[in-house]
Amino acid sequence: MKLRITSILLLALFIYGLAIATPALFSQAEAKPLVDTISQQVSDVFRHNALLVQLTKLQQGLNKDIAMKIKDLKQGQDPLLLVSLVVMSFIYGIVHAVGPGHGKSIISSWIIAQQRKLRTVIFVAGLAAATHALSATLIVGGTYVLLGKFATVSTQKLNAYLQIAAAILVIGIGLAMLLRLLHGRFSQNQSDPGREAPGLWARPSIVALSIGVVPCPVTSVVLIFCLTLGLIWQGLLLVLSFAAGMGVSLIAIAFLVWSCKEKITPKKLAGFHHVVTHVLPAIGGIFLVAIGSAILYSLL
Amino acid sequence: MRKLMLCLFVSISLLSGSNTCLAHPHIFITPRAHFAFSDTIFTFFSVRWYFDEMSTIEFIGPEAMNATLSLSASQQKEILTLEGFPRPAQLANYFRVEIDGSAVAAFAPAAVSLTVDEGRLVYSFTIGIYRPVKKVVKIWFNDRSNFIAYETRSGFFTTSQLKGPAPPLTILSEQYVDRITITR
Repeated sequence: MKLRITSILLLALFIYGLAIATPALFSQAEAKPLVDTISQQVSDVFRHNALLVQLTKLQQGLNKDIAMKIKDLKQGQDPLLLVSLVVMSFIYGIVHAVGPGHGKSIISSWIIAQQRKLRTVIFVAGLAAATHALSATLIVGGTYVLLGKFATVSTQKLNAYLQIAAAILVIGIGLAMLLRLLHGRFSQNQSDPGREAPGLWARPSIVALSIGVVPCPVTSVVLIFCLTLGLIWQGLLLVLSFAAGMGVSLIAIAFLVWSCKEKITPKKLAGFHHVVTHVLPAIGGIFLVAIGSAILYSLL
Repeated sequence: MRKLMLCLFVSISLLSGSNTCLAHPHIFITPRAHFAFSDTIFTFFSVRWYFDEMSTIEFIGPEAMNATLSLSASQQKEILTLEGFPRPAQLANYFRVEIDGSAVAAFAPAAVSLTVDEGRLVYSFTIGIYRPVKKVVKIWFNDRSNFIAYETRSGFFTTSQLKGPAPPLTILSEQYVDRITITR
């Protein structure tokens, strides 16, 4: 009974979050200041957090050192310099992905909502990091090949469209989860929604794509810097190392969320079956719709 | 216990998110500034933001590598329209001014200029304040979206006084934010 009340309260919180993120439920004049206020409060939490401040300072130092070493690499042929750059890029990727963003909430919501094996969870997290770096690489390389320069304004417009596409994907994944849940609840065959064959929207690759389709700006600047100095394969190597670092962070966090969920909701106890098969998918679906809506609203 | 853990890790999941994709810094700026006083009046401060080298190359192009350049009006206009780049009309969102504990609504600058100095993009502007100061002025730079991170270093800021000695300046960290503190 207490668990049901707790679950209902959590659901109510997410529905409230969805309502705030959806401007149609409020007038434009009311919605934007309210979202801006919440954004300010969330931003204040992040900014006034000692760990995140230290992460920012660490990233600033790594950014400066990597730029200096890339220029030194152009001057000399010291192989150890390249090794040190690869290691620094790897660390930069880990630190960068630990901070806010990079789809951790999306992956967490999906893990909560779905009953997936650990290897699938790791696959999604790794693929998200890889596509996040790959999309930036393709855009930077593609614009340079086609236009002969790094067309920043056009690239940013493309990035904006990709962010909109990602937000729509996230909303679609959330809605698909909720619809499957409702369909399973009202259909005569009361099957376990979490164990049915996944629809298109709930496939691991789609979840990873919704995160990775947005190009990573840090990958872009590192690659552009290297390409400007004529260090093509070295730039790609650094991007690969950076992506590997991001993958480590995302996989670690995905594993943590998956482990917590497995421990909190042991399958052997009948009382948790309802939580696993209905409450958690509902929470995850609503949260995905809320966060996708908030992202879309901030972009439009 | 399990219910508590459930609420806890859902909360952690919430806090690990952001309503934008730009919640972590991608541009790093080292600000330098001069603060001018006339007796008890804080008259104006002029700012130069030095962007990191990699962002400079992204915005300007290969010609900016290790170079000192003037940018044409059209180049400056193009850069100022880029996503995440502080626009002149929104500059007041990127810094805070407090005089004797009260926030000041700073005026927007009349104009900004962009140049390249030794391979780094420099964004310059001047803000007029014209307010009396009894004891202390605090100024700090920040970006609410966290797309830009500022590295506030002592030694990069100066003060001047039209009448009398220049007021002393220190960098104090309050709530993990480095604030430029000028005392009379």
